Amino acid sequence: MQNKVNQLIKKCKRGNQVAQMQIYDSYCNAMYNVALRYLKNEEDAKDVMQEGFLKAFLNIEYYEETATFGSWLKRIIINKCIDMIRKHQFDTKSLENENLHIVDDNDWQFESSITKEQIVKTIKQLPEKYRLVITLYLIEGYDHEEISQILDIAIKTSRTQLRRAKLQLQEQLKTQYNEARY
Amino acid sequence: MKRDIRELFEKEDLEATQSLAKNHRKEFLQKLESEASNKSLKPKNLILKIAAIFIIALMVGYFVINKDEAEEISPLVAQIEAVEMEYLESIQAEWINFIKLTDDENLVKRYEKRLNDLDYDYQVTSENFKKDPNNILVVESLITNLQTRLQLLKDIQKHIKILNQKNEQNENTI
Repeated sequence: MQNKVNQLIKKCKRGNQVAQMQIYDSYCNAMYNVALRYLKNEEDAKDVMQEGFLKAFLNIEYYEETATFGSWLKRIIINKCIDMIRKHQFDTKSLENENLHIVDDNDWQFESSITKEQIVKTIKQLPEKYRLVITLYLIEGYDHEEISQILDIAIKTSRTQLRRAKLQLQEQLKTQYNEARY
Repeated sequence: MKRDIRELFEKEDLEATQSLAKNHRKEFLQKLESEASNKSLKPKNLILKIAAIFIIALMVGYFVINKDEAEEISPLVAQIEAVEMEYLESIQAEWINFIKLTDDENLVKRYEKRLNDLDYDYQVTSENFKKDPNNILVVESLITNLQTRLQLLKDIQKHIKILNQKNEQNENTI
């Protein structure tokens, strides 16, 4: 698979449109679903996904085989999504204005009766600032350094916001869980 | 019973996927093609840029050789000033076009800031140029700075136009 992709990428570097479309076909669904994690509007998600591909093809000479093509592409798409969210007035800089205590915790123990679907659904309903940080961390698997680059915030901001996001997620799931029980 | 929910997300799941709108492929192909046709314009810019740098390099070379004679206001400085004027005029014109094109205040503010930042850089480089008018690197970075500003404005306008077209299309389909 990766071998075939690498060959296609070589062709893309020469501007071969057929190869570009093949790459698009292989990754568009996955990338569309990545975009949907950030953008609620399906039309926006599709546009951002396609713009991400265009950007990737434009900059494909900078792609190095140290990372998989999928993760390189995903990073571009996510950056585009964040740009889009910023355009719609959400300023990630506002994350920095709050009081920050550096607390790092590694405790992600949740009730095991809580399903992945519930978690994903609840994350989507969190306030924007928490939703972004926790999606980047939990679902995409980025570390704080990467999150701070993507959102253009300080690493300590990323840590604090993630902690708060987690607490809020926990709180909301707890309520849901209790409601379901009684 | 508790468990670490991070483990749940270790594998990217492909189950809960949503599929794309039907015509997405055609749409992307169009975008790809229009991008490709834009690209063919770029080499022209590049040639112009190379030409500009070449001419300036020649002039710098000339004035370095004839340094002793040209002590007053060096014609190179005058030349750069002329180039600068021309660029600043184009930038101003594009800026006005850009403001006309959008009513998104945040966008305008953001671009204003970017342009101001670039302008600040330009002033700093300009000081260096005054101190060392024969340094080709300084001259190059002055020109690149102006080009960046112009390109920035052109790009955003292109983007806005595409967005507007899309909106019109959407309205038409409604």
